[in-house]
Amino acid sequence: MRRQTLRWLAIGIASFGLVALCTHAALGRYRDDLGARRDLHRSAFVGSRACARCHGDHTRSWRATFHRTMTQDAAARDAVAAPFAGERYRYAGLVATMRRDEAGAPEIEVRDGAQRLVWRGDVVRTVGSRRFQQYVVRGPRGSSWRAPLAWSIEDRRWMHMNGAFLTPDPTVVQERSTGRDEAHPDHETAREAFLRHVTRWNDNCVFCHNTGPNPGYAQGTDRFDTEVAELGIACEACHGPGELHVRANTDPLRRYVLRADGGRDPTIVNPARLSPERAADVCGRCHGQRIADRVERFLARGDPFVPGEPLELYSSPLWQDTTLGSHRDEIEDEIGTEPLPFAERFWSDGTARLTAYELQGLLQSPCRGLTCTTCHSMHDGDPRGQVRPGMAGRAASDERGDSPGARDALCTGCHEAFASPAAAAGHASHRDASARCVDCHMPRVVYGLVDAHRSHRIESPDPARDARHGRPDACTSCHTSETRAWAIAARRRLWPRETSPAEPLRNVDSQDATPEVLRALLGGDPIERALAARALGEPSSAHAASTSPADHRARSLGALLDAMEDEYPAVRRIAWRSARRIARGSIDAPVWRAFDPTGDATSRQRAIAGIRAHLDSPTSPIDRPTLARLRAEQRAVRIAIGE
Amino acid sequence: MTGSDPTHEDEESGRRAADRAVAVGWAWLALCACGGLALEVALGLKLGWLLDDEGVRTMARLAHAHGVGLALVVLAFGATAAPRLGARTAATSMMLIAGAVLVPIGFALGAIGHGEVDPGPGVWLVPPGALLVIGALVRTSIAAIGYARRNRNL
Repeated sequence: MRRQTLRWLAIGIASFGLVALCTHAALGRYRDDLGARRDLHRSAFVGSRACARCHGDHTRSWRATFHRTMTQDAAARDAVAAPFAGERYRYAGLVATMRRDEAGAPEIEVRDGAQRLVWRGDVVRTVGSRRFQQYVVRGPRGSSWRAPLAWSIEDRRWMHMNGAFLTPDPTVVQERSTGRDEAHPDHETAREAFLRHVTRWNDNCVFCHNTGPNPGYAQGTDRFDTEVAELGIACEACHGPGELHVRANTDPLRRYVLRADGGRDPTIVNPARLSPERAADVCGRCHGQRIADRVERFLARGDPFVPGEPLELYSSPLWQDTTLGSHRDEIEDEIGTEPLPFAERFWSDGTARLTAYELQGLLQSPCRGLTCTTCHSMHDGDPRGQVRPGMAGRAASDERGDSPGARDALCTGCHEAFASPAAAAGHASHRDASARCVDCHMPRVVYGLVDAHRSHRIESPDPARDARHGRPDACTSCHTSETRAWAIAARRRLWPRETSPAEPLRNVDSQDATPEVLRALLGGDPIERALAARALGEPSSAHAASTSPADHRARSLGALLDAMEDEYPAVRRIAWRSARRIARGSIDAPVWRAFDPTGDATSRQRAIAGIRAHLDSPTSPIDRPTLARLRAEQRAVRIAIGE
Repeated sequence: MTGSDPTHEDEESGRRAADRAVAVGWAWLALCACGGLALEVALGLKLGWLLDDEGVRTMARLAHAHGVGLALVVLAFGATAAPRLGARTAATSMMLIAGAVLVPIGFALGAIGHGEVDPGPGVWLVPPGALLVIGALVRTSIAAIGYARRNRNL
C-alpha cells in the first residue's frame, strides 16, 4: 500500500513538474508573441459575426447603435424603413412612385407630367436609420447610385434630398410656386433639378458608411467592382481587420496569458489603448473630412488606413484654406472650379460649420490629451450621439436624469477647480447652475442632417469674437431674445478679467434691438438660418427679464412661422419642428402634419395659415419692413456637401 | 483483474471502494442539488449577480449540471461496478471521485474573475478533472468487459 502511495505521489510530482515546465516554456513563447508588432495591413477582415463568438457583450452594445445600420442590404429583414407601398411624391413638376416589384423588392420610378419616364431604380441598399433613410439603386458597370428621394424617419414621409441636404428649391419650383411660370416646366430642367443629388455610391458614400470599403474602380474599363468587408460601420472599422486576432486567439492558453499580461494584443487595435491623437484618427477617418493624397489609389484599392496609424500617412484634413491642388482635374464635382472650394464649410475664424469636421474641431481645441472617446463611447450610453454620462448639455442631461455631480464630470475630471457645484456656479455665473459646460464651451454652431450640432472646437464663449467672424455665439444661442450687444456687455460684466478692453467691435450695431437669433433666422445665410431655427425651438432657451415667458413663446413662434417660408426646405423643416416643439404640437396632429417642407409653396402657405389660426394668432416678432430688410440681407451660399 | 479469478482481498477492496463511492456520491449529489436550488432561487428572485452576468450564469449552470450528473455516475459506479471489479477498483474509484469533484468545482471557480471571452483561471481544473473521469470510465469499462467474459456472459 505504501509503495503504491509512493508511486502515485511520484507520478503526481512528475506530472506537476512536466506541466510547470511546459507552462513556463509556453508563457515565454506567448509573451514573445504578444510583444511582437504586427502589420495589420496583412490581416483580412472577418466580419462582426466572428467577433461576436467571443465578444458577446461588445457585440450587443454595438448592435444597438446607428453605426451598425448605417448601410444595410435592402433585402435584409427590417432594413427598409419606408413603406414602398405605392406612395406618390411630387417635386419640381415630376412625380415619383415608390413601390415593390413582384418579388417584394423596393423600386423608385420618376415620371414627368406627360408620363415619360425620367428615372427609375431598383433599391439594393439603404443608408441611414435614425433621422432619414437614403436608398441606393443599382446602376450600370458595377455602379450604385443614391436615389433622389429619402424617407424621413422622424416625419414618416418622403422628402426630396434638397430637404435633407442644405440646398434651395430649384428655380423651376420657385417659379411655379410664385405663379410666374404656370406652364409645365421644361422636361430637362425639371429632370436636372430633381436628380441633383443622385450621386454615385461606389466612390462617395462607400468610404465612411461601411467597413473595409474598396471601390475597385478600373480606370481602363470605367467599371466598379466595389466590395466591402461588411455593410455599415462594424467592429473592424475601429479595431482594424481581425483575421490575425481570431487566428491567434483560438489558442486558449494564449488568451489566458494575454489577460494576465494586461490584455494588450498586437493582433488587433483597441482605440482605448491608443494615444489620444491616434485614437482621434480612428474616428476622424470619417468624422473629419479629408482629402486623399492619392485619389486614384483610394478609388482602385480602397483607403489603406488601418486604425492605430496616423491618418496623415494617406490623407490630409480639409481646412478653410485647403485647395485641390493637383487633384483639381480628378474632382468631377462643381467644387473643382472654386479657388477655395471648402471655405464655406467653415466660419471665417476656421471653426467648422458642418458636421463630419469634428476632428478638425478637436485639433483646434486647447484641451490637450482629449480624444473622442473621452466624451463618447461606442459601447454604452444613448445611441443618439453616443455621449457618455457627464458630457451632455442641459436638455439632454435633464432628459436622462443625470445626477448633479455627474453632469459635468468629464470636464471637471481635468478642470478640478470647478468640480464643486459652488465653484462651477461661480465660474458659470448662471442662476440655478442651469448651464452645463458644453452649453457655453461647445455651442450648437454646426449644421448637419437637418439639425444643429455642437461645435467640437472647445473654446471660451466670446460674442465679440464671434460677431467679428459672423458666426453665432453661445450666449445668444440660448438667450434667444437678446442682441449681440447685450451678450458682449454681459460677458464684460461677468468675466471682466477675460475680456480685453481694447477689443474692437465689428458687425455689432448697438442701436439695433433685433435679437441676434431673429436677425440670423431671417437675414443670415442658410446655415445661420438653420441654426437659429433650431435655437428658437430649444425648450431651455432663455428669455430676457423684460419679457414674459408667454411673450417670448409667442415671438419665437411668430419668427419660426416666418422662417417656414424660407427658400431652403431644410430651414423650413427645422423651423416647423421648432415651432411644433414650442407649441407642444404632435407630429400626427393634422394641423402640423399639413405642412410639408418639400411640398409646393401654395400648400405650405395654406398649412402655415392653418397653424397660425390653430395657435391663436401668435404675434410676429418684427414688423414687416424690418422683416423685408433682413430678408434682403440673406446671403446664398453654395455648399457642395450639405449633409 | 482479467484472466484470473478475483481473490478475497480484491473483493474486500472492491467492497470498500463501493462503500466509499456510494457515500461520496450521495453526499456530492446532495450538495450539487442544493447548488441547483440556489440557482433556481437566484433566478426566481431575479438576482443581478446571476442574471446580469452571462459568464457567471453559464459557469454556474455548468457546475450544477456536471456536479449532479457526475455524482450519479459515482453512485452508479459504487452500486454496479466496484463490487465486481477486483484489484484496481480502489484506484479507479479515487480517479472517478476526484474527477467528479474537480469538474464542477472548476466550473464554479471559472465564474470568478471571468472575462468577456473566457472563464476565470479556476476553469483550468476542468480538463484534468475530465481526464480523470474519462480515465476512470475507460478502466471501468475494460474491467467490466473482462468480468463479463470471465463469467461467460459476453
